[in-house]
Amino acid sequence: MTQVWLRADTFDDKKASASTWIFTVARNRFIDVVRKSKRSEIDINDPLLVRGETPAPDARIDRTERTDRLNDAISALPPDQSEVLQLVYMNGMKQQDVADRLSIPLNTVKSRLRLALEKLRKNMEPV
Amino acid sequence: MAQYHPSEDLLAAYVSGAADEPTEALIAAHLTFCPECQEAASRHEEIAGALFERFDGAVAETRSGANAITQCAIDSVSADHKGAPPGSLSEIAPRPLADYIFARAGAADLDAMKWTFYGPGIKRAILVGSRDGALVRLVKARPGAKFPDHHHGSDELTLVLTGAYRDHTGRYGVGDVQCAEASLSHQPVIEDEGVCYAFVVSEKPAIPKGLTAKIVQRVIRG
Repeated sequence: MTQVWLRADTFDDKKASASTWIFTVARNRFIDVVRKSKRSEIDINDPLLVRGETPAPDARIDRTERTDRLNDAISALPPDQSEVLQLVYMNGMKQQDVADRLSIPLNTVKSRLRLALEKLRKNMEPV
Repeated sequence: MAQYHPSEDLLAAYVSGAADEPTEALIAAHLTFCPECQEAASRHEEIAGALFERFDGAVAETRSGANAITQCAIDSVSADHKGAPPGSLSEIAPRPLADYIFARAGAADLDAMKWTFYGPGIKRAILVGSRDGALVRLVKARPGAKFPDHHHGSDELTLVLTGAYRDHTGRYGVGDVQCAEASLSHQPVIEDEGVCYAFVVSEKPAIPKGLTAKIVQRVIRG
């Protein structure tokens, strides 16, 4: 976790939860190491950047609630959908590779992912 | 504001790190232009974060056989990556894309890039090529220029950086991403909004339609 601590100054709890931030640091590091080239990301100092509305001051409280609801929704997913979700997000696999690994058609991977994301997103909307 | 966006699948691949390098640069550049997709991408990151926390120990062992977390812990901070120096490139391309293009073209000025003729009023700088043609390229076209009618060897992503073009599916302006499926056959025409620069990524080169176009393309390819 050295890398995570070295990057600790970039953590901003108004922008993301700790787990999200740790995920992004680990992912970027992983890409840098394995691919040996820099991860392409938005540069917040980019003169071309178009900013959306800034989140409300109470966004952080909402986020805690949201994270809880998101976790509940993940627990409630059918195993086949949760499996696809894990392979896509955690193992960083391409959809075709997920299909090959599970010996299911690509369209099944797509539909399972779509169904799972729909459910999770519903739980991330403000109540 | 961008009207055409990358698919949710592409955003998920971008967030998870499954997207290939040029696609990643294209999506990051689109996000720079598009607050809507910035929001969507952060939702994907939130989901990934929640999964990350749950599956903690077992995480990502199959990522190319390596454990992502262990990798991150062992490695020290890498040397700073070189970004694109300021130049005309960074005036039209968002930072992540300017860096990507600079790394391949070795030029920060658009004029210093190696442009090749592609059709009347159309030039392109090939960043990644294959024996059969260009896979990743920067395209520069004058208003009124008409692309040869073509279909695609594979899905193709186009991000507009300046100007605009139109085909039978719609009008694509700055920040828009056209996701052309392999089956799409189209003939983009550049709109009267100044020079159009676009960044194009595909797995296989475009296939021109018609015998003349094919011969011309073969000659161009050399």
